[in-house]
Amino acid sequence: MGERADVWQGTLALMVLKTLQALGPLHGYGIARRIEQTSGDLLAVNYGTLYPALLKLEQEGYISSEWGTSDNNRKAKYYKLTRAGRKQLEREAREWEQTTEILARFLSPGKESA
Amino acid sequence: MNRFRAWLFRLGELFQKERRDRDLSAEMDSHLQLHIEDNLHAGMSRAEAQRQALIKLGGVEQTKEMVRDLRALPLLESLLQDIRYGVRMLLKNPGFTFVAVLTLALGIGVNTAVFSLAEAFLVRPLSLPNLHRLVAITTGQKSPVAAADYLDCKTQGQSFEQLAAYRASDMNLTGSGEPERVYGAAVTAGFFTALGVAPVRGRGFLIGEDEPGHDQVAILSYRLWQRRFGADPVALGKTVNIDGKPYTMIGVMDRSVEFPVPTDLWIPLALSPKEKVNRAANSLHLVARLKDNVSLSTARAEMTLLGRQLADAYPNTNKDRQFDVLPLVEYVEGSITRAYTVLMLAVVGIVLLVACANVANLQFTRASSRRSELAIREAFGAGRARLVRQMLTESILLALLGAAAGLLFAKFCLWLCISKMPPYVVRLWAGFDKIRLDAGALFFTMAAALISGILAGILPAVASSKHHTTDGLREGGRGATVGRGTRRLRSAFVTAQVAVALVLVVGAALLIKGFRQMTGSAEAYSPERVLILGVNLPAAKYPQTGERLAFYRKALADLSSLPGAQSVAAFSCYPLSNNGAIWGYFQVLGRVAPDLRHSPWADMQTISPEYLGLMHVALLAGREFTSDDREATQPVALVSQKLAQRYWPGESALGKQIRIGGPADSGPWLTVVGITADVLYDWTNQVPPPTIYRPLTQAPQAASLLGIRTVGDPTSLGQATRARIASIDPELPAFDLKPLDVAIHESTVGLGYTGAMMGILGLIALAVAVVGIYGIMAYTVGERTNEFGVRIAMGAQREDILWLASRHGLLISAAAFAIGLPAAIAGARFLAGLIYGTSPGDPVVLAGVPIILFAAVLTAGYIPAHRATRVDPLAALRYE
Repeated sequence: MGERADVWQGTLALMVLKTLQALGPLHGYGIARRIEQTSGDLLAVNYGTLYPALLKLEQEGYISSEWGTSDNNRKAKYYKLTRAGRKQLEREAREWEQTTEILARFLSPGKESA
Repeated sequence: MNRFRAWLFRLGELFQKERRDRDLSAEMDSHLQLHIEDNLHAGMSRAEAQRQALIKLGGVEQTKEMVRDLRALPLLESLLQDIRYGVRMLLKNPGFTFVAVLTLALGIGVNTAVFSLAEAFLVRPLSLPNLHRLVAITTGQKSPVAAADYLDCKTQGQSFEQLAAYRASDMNLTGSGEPERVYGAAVTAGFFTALGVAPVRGRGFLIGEDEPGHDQVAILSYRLWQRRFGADPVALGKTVNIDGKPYTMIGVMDRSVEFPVPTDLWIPLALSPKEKVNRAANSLHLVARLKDNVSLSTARAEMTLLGRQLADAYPNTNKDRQFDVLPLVEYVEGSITRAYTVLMLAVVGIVLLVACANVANLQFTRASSRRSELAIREAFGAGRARLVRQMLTESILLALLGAAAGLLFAKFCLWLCISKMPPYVVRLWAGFDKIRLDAGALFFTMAAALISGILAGILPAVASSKHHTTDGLREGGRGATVGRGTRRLRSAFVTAQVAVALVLVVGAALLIKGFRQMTGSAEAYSPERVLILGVNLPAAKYPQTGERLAFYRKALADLSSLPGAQSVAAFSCYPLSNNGAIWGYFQVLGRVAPDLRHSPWADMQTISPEYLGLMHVALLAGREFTSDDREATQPVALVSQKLAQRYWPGESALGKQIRIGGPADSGPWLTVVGITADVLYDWTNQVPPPTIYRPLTQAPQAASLLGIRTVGDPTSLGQATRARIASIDPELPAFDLKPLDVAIHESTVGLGYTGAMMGILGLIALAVAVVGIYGIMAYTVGERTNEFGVRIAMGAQREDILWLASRHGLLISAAAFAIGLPAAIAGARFLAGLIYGTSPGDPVVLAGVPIILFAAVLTAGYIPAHRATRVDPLAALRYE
C-alpha cells in the first residue's frame, strides 16, 4: 500500500513538473484539470491528492508558489517551476524513459528467439 | 541534500503554523471556487456544481489533513507542546523547581569542572598540532634512552616522520641584566619539525647546528623574550651567556609552545663523539611524529623488534632493555595527576548520581500530588507513553536548567582552582594553563544533563503513569496512596544517597586529615623561619670539586654573617618536596647486588655539617658531620633509621660500609658514622624511603640548595641574600628564593586541592542526602496525616506518633549505614594507597563522621515527625 502510494506520488510529481513546464505558472485546480485531461481518469477520483504532492515539491525546492489572480479575476495560488525543478524534470523524464524502454523490451513477446 | 532542505523547510513551518493554516484554507477555497465556476459554465445548477467540486476534491478537511501531515514534523510539534506544558508546570511549582535545579546544578557543575580539569591534564596538556600523532620512545616505565640507542632508532626507525631527542635542564642565563635561572632544554635539530611548530620570529635550528662547535645558538620562549628582553625584536642576533658560554639568539617560539613543560630557552643538543657511542646512560627523551599511515601499535612493534636486535648486538648494556612507544600525552602527564584526576572523576560521577536520586525522589513526591492532573489528561485520551514522555520532558527540562546554572558553578570552581594556584606551580603542571570551559566541556555538560534528566525522571514517570484514571479522579485523589513498590523504590533511593554520602564524607575526611597531617609534619622543621634558595654551578666555571667547594665555603660563611641569620646550611632537597629528591642505587659491603636492577636504592642528600641542626632532623646515634670531614679524610656517611634497620637489622649500623652506585661502579666505600631520624623528602613516596647523607666537603654537587634559619621573617633577608651571592659570583643566579613554608605549600598544593575538592563534594553529597531524608519523611508524614489525626483522637500519645512517624527514616538510616560503612572502609583503604599519612583505620574519622552524619539525618527526619505530633485531630478528620 505504502509503496504503491509512493510510486503514485512520484508519478504525480513528474506530471506536475511536466505540466508546469508546458503551461507555465498555474494554480492547483488548473494543474489537476490538465493532468486529468492528459492522463484520462488517473486523477478522476481525487483532486485533493495533488496538494500534498505540490507541498512536497515546494519543500524540495522544485517549484515555488505565489498568490495571484486568475483569468476570471479569482484569487488563486500559482505554482511555477524553479531552475532546480527544470533540472529535476529533465532527470526524472530521462530515467522514466529508460525504465519504460527497458520494461517495454522486457515485456514485449518473443523477439529474442531468433 | 533536498531531503535536508525539505526538513529545514518543515522546521520553519513549525513556527508559522497559523499563517500556513490560513494560507491552506484560502487555497482550498480558491480551488473550489474555480471548480464551481467551471461546473456552472458546463451548465450545472449551483448546488450540483458545489457538490461535484467537493466530491472531486475528496473533502476539504481530508485534504488539509494530508497536507498538514506532510507539512511539519509531528513528533517535534508534540515535543514543543510537551516543553511548553513542562515549563508551565515548573513555573507553577517554584519551590520544587528551585530545589531540583539547584541540586542538579551542583551535581552537573562539579562534573563539568572536573571534566575540564581532566581534559586539560590528560587529553591536551600541550598545545601542539596533531598532538595525538606525537609519541615518546622510552626504555620502559617512561625511562629515557641512551644516546647511541637514540641514533639507532633514528636511522632504523621506519614508523616516524621525524624523530628527535631532547634533554631538559635548568640553565644559568647571564649577559644582559640580572643573572637568572631559567628552564632550558637541549634539543636536536629536528625537534621543532617533529613537534610541528616553528618560531614566530627568527628561525629554528638548522641541520648541523646540533653538532659540537656549531651549537652556540638559542631560541627563546615567548615568555622569556617578553620578560627579559621586553619583546624587543632587536634582541635577536645578540648574544647571551648560558651556563657561562656565549650563545646567539636566533628565534622566538610561539606563545603557546612550551615543550618540554616548562621551557624558557632551547639550545641545540650537540652530542660529542664520545656521547654518540654511549649506550650505558639512558639520558635522552625521545619524541617523534608518526607517519600518516602508521599506527601506534605498528610503531611499538617496530621499536620492540629494534630493541631485541640491539640487545643481541650489545648484550652488555642492552640485555634487559626493552623499547616502548607511548603517546606523548601519556609520557608527559604527572604520574599522580592521572590517579587523582580519575579519582575525582569517579567521585563527581557519584555525586551526580546522588543528585539524580534526589531529584527522582522530589519528582515522586510531586507526581503523587499531580495524580488528578495526570488522570484528567489520561481521560482525555493521552496515552501512557505520552504521559511518560511528558514527565520525562519535564525532568530533562529541569536537568537542562540545572546544567545552565551548573555551567556557572563550574566556571566558579575553575576560577577558584586557577586563581588560587601559585604561578610557579601552574608553569610546572602540564596542562594547567589549558584549563577552560570549551566546546568539549559544553557538550559533556549537555550530555550529562540529558542523562541525569532521564535517570531522575524515568522511574517517577513510569510509576506515576500507572495509576488508574478512576482513582485519580476521586476527590483530589487523596484516598489512593502510592503503591508499595514505589515507596520501596524511594526508600532505596534515599538509602543509597545516605550510604554514598557516608562514603564520600569519610573519604574526604581521611584525605583532608592525611593532608593536614602531612603538612602538619612540616611544622617539625619550623619552615616559616627558613629561607631557601637554589644555586647551580656551571661546569664551565666550576669544573672541579675544588672550585665548587670553595664557592660553598664562601657562600655559607658570607650568608651566616647576615644580620638575623641564625645558621646556614647546604643540602640537596627540602622535606616534603614534590619530585625534588634525588635517588640513587647503593651497595652494602659484603652484599653487593648481582646487577643494577637488584641494587637497593635510597634518597641521596649532600649536606653541610649544620644541616641537621638547621632542619631539626634528630641524630639518633653516632655523630654528625664536622668540619674535620674533609676530602682527604675517611669517606663517611649518615644513614636514616629506616636504612639502618633494613640492612643491618638487630645490629648497629655504625661503622658499617656502603658505596654509592651500581655493582659495577667504583666509588669509595663510605663508613656510616651516624643514624638520623627518617625524613620524607619527596611526599609522593608516601613513606620516607631510606636516605643516605654525604658531607658536602667530600662530594660537592653542582646543584644545591642553601638554607638560612632566621630570627625573624625570612623574606626580609631576600635582597641581602641575593646581594651576597652576587658578590661571590655576579654571573650566578640565586633562584627559587623563598621561605621554606612557601616552598612546601607549593609542592603539596595539588594534594590540598584534591582534599578541598573532596571536602566540598562530601558536603554536597551530605546536603543532598539530608534533603532526601527530609523529603521522604515530610512526604510520608503528609500522606498519613489522617491516620495520625485518627490515632491522636483515639488517644495515642505524642511519643507514639513521633515513633510511628520517624520509624521509616530510622530504618532507612540504619540500612544506609549498614551498607555505607563497609564501603567507606574499603574506600579508605584505597585512599590510603594514594596519600601519605592517610590511615585507613583512623578511628576518629570512622566513628566521628557517621555520628555527625547520623545526627544530621535524624534532625532532617525529626522536623516532619515532630509536625506529625502536632496534627490537629479535628482538622485531619474533617478532610475525610
